[in-house]
Amino acid sequence: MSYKQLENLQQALKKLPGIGSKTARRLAYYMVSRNTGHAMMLADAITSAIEANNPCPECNLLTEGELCEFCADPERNQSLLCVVQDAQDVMLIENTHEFKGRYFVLGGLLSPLHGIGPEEIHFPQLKKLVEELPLTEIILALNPSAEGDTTIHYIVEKFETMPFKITRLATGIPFGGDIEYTTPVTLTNALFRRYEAD
Amino acid sequence: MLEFPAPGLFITGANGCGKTNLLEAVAYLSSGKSIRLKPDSELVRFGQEFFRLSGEVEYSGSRHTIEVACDTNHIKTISIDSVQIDRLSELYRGFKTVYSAPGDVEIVTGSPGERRRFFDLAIAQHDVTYLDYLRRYRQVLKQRNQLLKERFNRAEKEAWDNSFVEATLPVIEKRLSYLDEFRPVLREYYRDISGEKEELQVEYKFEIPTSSGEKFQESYLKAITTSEDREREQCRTLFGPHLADWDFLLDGKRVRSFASQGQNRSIAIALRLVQAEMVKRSTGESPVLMLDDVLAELDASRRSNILNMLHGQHQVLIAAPDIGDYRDFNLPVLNLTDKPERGSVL
Ligand SMILES: Nc1ncnc2c1ncn2[C@@H]1O[C@H](COP(=O)(O)OP(=O)(O)OP(=O)(O)O)[C@@H](O)[C@H]1O
Ligand SMILES: [Mg+2]
Ligand SMILES: [Zn+2]
Repeated sequence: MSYKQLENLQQALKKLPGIGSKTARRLAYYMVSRNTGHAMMLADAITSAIEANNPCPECNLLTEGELCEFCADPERNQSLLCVVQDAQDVMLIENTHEFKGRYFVLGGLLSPLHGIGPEEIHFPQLKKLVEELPLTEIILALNPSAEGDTTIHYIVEKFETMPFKITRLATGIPFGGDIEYTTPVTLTNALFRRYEAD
Repeated sequence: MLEFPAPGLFITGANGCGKTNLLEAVAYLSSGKSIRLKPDSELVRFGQEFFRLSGEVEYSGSRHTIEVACDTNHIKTISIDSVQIDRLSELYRGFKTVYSAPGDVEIVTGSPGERRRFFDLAIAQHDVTYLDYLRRYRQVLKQRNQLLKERFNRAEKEAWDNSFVEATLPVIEKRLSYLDEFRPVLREYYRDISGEKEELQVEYKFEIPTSSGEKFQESYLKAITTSEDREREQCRTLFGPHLADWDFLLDGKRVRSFASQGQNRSIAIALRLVQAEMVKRSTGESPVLMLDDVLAELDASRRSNILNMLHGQHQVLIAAPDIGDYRDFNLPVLNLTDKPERGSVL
């Protein structure tokens, strides 16, 4: 194997979220030198996952079949829709076992700096889905940032006349979090959205 | 290693001996940045590749160790009590310093940006939530300016307008409430400096017309409609806290057009003294106050008024080439001319 190939591998790994130069180099060496069996398995897993997956036509979640498991499941509550930024957010919310409705993956938040407008966050597709479902509530589970809040403003504005309510996640102190280390704005929000203790 | 006695220190020595350097090192521990607005690369000693700085300081009733290291790639790591911090704003919560230098006269006579920088930092020192709100505001502003450069649809623009107004409100509210507390102290301090002779006023100047009684929220919503065409033309946001200013009035007259050099310098010093007092009010602890050769050019009565005001107030670090007037102040003296120059080691 040439130096060039190792370099390519390293550069490709570095592009992954959360991986810096050092880790990329370590991983690249690991793959080519010690455990080539494992590395081949990984390569296959990546290839087949990519080849087999397409965005679900209803919600954008990646899926092997026609519809994703949530859109295809008649047991899911069709009157609740949870709108998230990324597919990984769906997994996070599923893990709470608290939500039994449908999902919609925006794939991004409004951000002119990144060239992301309403079309890029699949708003037309969301609108179509919203018109088809017998919704009573949309939950906007988006990050409380400049971009997240603006996306919420946009969606709220667009669905103003629709007959369902639109909610957003409460922002506050995380469990296991420490008030002392909470940023002041978070703490202010947590105070502002406090609820009755029972 | 250098120890600063509780009442303070008088730092003297010839021009270029490193007095400002030393103060800068102290200030760096409280802001993670250079007070002279130099990039970190220029703080590295000539011929060296990195710098290190550490100090033991007292705040929140106990001693803390703050360490800064800036490596060859100018990546810096800062830790408080051996715990590395992620954001510079964490420094703002603890050790507080106020640095006054001749260049501060720019706050009084310079562009509005100078006053925004002064007040934004002073408010952040007084109220840590301010930095979070300011950061949010700047992010929304950046996004909105980008949007104005592009083709956008109406609802998208409205969404960013909403976020924009939402983000401006806490920034303005905090500036106004800081000023409400700042104003009477400034008036009192300036009276003391001028020997009861002059009345100094300061007002926040909105960048858009605000009719009295109207909430600034409403003014902003109006400004969004009325300035839309101009904003599209110029591709940027034409109103908001990033364009606001503060007006100083001396006996009712605008300082920028009328005041003398000495008056401007006195105002600049007064601003720093009030900044220090505001820190003391919000935290209950005095910040370290540094006066870097600021009394030159003032008349004898103003010089002695200022020195009298400092007595027993804060830990004061005064730097000047000659001891002159400061002799009466009875601070321990550090003469840097005698010491071999050692960069910013403390
Ligand atoms: N990166 C650097 N490395 C080493 N020396 C530097 C560096 N940057 C500046 N200096 C030098 O440090 C010296 C000390 O400067 P400093 O501004 O602290 O002097 P000062 O005592 O405040 O003088 P003055 O009385 O004129 O204000 C200067 O001679 C300057 O040339
Ligand atoms: Mg100097
Ligand atoms: Zn689906």
